[in-house]
Amino acid sequence: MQDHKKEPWKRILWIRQDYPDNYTDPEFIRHLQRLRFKDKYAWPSPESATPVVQVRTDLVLFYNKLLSTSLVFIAFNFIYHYKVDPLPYTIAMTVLILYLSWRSTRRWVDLRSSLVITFAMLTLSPVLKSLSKTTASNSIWTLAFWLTLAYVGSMSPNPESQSSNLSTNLLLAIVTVLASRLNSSTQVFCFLFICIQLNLILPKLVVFNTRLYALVLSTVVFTYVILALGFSYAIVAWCLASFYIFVLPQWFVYWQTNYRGYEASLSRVWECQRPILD
Amino acid sequence: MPSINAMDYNRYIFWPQGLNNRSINLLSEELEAVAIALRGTDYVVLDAIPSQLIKDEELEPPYVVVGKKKAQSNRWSFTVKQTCIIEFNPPKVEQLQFFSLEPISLSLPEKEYDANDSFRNARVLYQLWGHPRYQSHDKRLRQSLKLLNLFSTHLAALYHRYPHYLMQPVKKSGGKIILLDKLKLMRRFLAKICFYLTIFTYHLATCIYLILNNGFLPLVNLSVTAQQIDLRCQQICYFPVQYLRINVNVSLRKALPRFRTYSEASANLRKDLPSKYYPDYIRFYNTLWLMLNDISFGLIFGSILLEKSDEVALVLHRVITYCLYDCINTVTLLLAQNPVGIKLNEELALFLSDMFLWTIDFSNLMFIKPLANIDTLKFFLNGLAKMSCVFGGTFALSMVVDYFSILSIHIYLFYRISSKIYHWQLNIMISLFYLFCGKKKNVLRNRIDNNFFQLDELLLGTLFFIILVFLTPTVLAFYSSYTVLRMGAITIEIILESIIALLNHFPLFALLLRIKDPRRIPGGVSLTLKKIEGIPHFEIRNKPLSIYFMFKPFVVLMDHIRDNFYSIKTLKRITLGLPVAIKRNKLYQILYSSLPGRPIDIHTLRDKWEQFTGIKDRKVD
Repeated sequence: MQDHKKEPWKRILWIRQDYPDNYTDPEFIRHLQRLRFKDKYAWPSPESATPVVQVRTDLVLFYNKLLSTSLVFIAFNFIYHYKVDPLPYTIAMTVLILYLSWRSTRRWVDLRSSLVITFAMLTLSPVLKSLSKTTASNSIWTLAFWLTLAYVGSMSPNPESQSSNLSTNLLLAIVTVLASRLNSSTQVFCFLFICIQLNLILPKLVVFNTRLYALVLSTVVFTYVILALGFSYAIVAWCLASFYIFVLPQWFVYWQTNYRGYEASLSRVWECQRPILD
Repeated sequence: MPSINAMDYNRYIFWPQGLNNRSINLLSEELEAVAIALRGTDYVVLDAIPSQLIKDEELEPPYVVVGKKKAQSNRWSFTVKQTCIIEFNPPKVEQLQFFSLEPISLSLPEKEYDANDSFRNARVLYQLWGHPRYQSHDKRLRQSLKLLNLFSTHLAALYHRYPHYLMQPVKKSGGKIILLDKLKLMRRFLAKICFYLTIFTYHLATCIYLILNNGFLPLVNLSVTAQQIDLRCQQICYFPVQYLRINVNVSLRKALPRFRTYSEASANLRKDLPSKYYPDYIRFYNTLWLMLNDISFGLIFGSILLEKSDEVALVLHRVITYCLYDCINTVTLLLAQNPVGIKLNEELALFLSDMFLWTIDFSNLMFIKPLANIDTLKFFLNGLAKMSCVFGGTFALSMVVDYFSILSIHIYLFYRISSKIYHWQLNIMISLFYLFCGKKKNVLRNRIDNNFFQLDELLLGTLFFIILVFLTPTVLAFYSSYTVLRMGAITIEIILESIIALLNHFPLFALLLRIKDPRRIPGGVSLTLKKIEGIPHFEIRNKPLSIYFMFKPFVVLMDHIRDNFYSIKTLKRITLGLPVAIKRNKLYQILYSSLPGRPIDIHTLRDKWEQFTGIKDRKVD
């Protein structure tokens, strides 16, 4: 009875707990013993492995981000190559975003900050346009490619977390580099606006239904690929995407149940704490 | 005769080298060495006196007989057990020779600078040496050296006490004074005029000093010429003080033989040894010599300049126009057009380049064109030559430096403008980089904290950061090229100013003294073994002051210059965009080591004067 009154032991060193220094949690011992009795039959069962649905959801989130990134290039290509006037699309996009945000949060966006951002972008777009104007086009494409790689690498895997500052910076760097090729500052402004909406704001609003979002995005991207590059490229990309979404999660769970040793299952529960370096 | 007791073991005997000849000359006589020993000193042999003169009376305590020599022999037998003979050449006080354990300081004691600032270990070691625990408390050598320094006085005192010891009459050097006494009236009149003239000059110099150093606009910091005038004023203000210091001591020195209570007198006299006022003497004459030297240099320089002024003006005109206008113009134009294939931001580069080009045109119209005009240059060179003939070469050189700094003012402006822009940009980028990392500077605690930024803050900050990052190369290109130009200008100024400093503060007098008579400028003593059999004989000699020690202020100055302008610290300042400026008054203060921080007040001077005249009166009484 006394034990029940006691605070349960926590695996935290920085608070003073009512336990001796050499206290070992019974849960840990039980876990170890179970592993030892089972010996080599201690492979994790299919039940103990991560469910396929969860893995797939995580992968789809990353897929979405990848597609959003490719939207930057699609938008750029429409403005730069096909000479499409981006203004009506931007307005449409903004209206859509406003509607979505109203639907998801049931209230209107913070007017002040959005106005500040919009006007700042409007003011800075001529500057952004001229920043790397003297650089040759080839260097710009190369630079954009490497920046995109870095951006994809820097995206945070956790869907709930705020998109990290580094990836925001890299996204803006890509946009800035590409913006120097555009003709007018209106185009630069619209391009910047669309990119920010697609990559930073939209993913936050569609958290409730990632699969639908993935479907819409894939449709858009594949349509563009078919139109711009032809069927062969589209088929390759489609194969890769379906492998990624349908095969990879199953494969991962299969590997987890059959090939990962029991040490992993121990360290999953009792993993060593990683220090937080500040 | 006082016997030597057991306490006197291990006491050394200082033996004047003059006595060696005496004992050879008086080979046939029996001689006794009379020495003086005060409390805490070794024996210092004063004279060798024939035994028959001493026999009939006893010597009084400060004097003892320490050795005897039989007739027809050249060997001395000493009464002190276990002793060493240290031979010495008696320093001639009237020729300002003396022994000193420490090197005499050529600068004022409060203005000693440490040459090796960078060697921290050495400094720690020095601190350790300074600790009383590691210092010797045996003051015997020091006391004995003081006795040696007053050798002639003590000798005279001995003869005064026992006149019959005197074998040959002492030469009197009074002839000159008698001659001067005849012209006493004339002399007094001249002295009056000189006195008032000195006071007038002193007042004038103080006034100029105060004007140059006023609180609102200290001209000394701005112009080298003002600094030169300031230096001369300070020197003139300090002359009377130095003169008084030297002469008060000289009068005391003349009064030395009047003290007759020997043991106490010498104790009192110790503080008035030459080493007390002697550095003042060196400093005084060094300054005088340097001034004369400067004027003679100025005469040479001025006459050459006058002769060649036309050619020099033409060359100078071309050089100035090329270096300070054409060259900089080209550089600025080039920076706007993607120099060396580096892709700069076109708009910003064009803007900066245009701004600097306007500044160049403005300075060209305002300064360079009128100042580097051939006629103006001729006029300036003529004036310079005349100035240098009258006031000295340093004055002319400092005017050249000022002229150059006026001509290169646009370089300074460019440097300041570009460094300001760069500094701002760097600062903003650093704080935006914190935002980039999701951190924020906490001003209250002066640390960097984590902070959660809203999306709009993040976006705005990121936009600015990206823009600044892309603009950095452009600003950096301008900043670095103008920094190089500025450093070049600073180097030229520093070279010229170093020449001025050398002319102003060269230890000429000390160097000449060292050549003429090394014993007059002691930097310690050295003992050399002369004879080892029997009683060991040593010889004590003066070590002259080392050349390094004489040039120590210059070494310190060079260190400071290197620290201020050509070191990692400077590079760091330049990288951070902080200004690199010449702090002239601070830099060259090191060389003012022979001058007090402020000119001495006239009232203090009067007090000194009264003290001096008071002593004179006492002497007359």
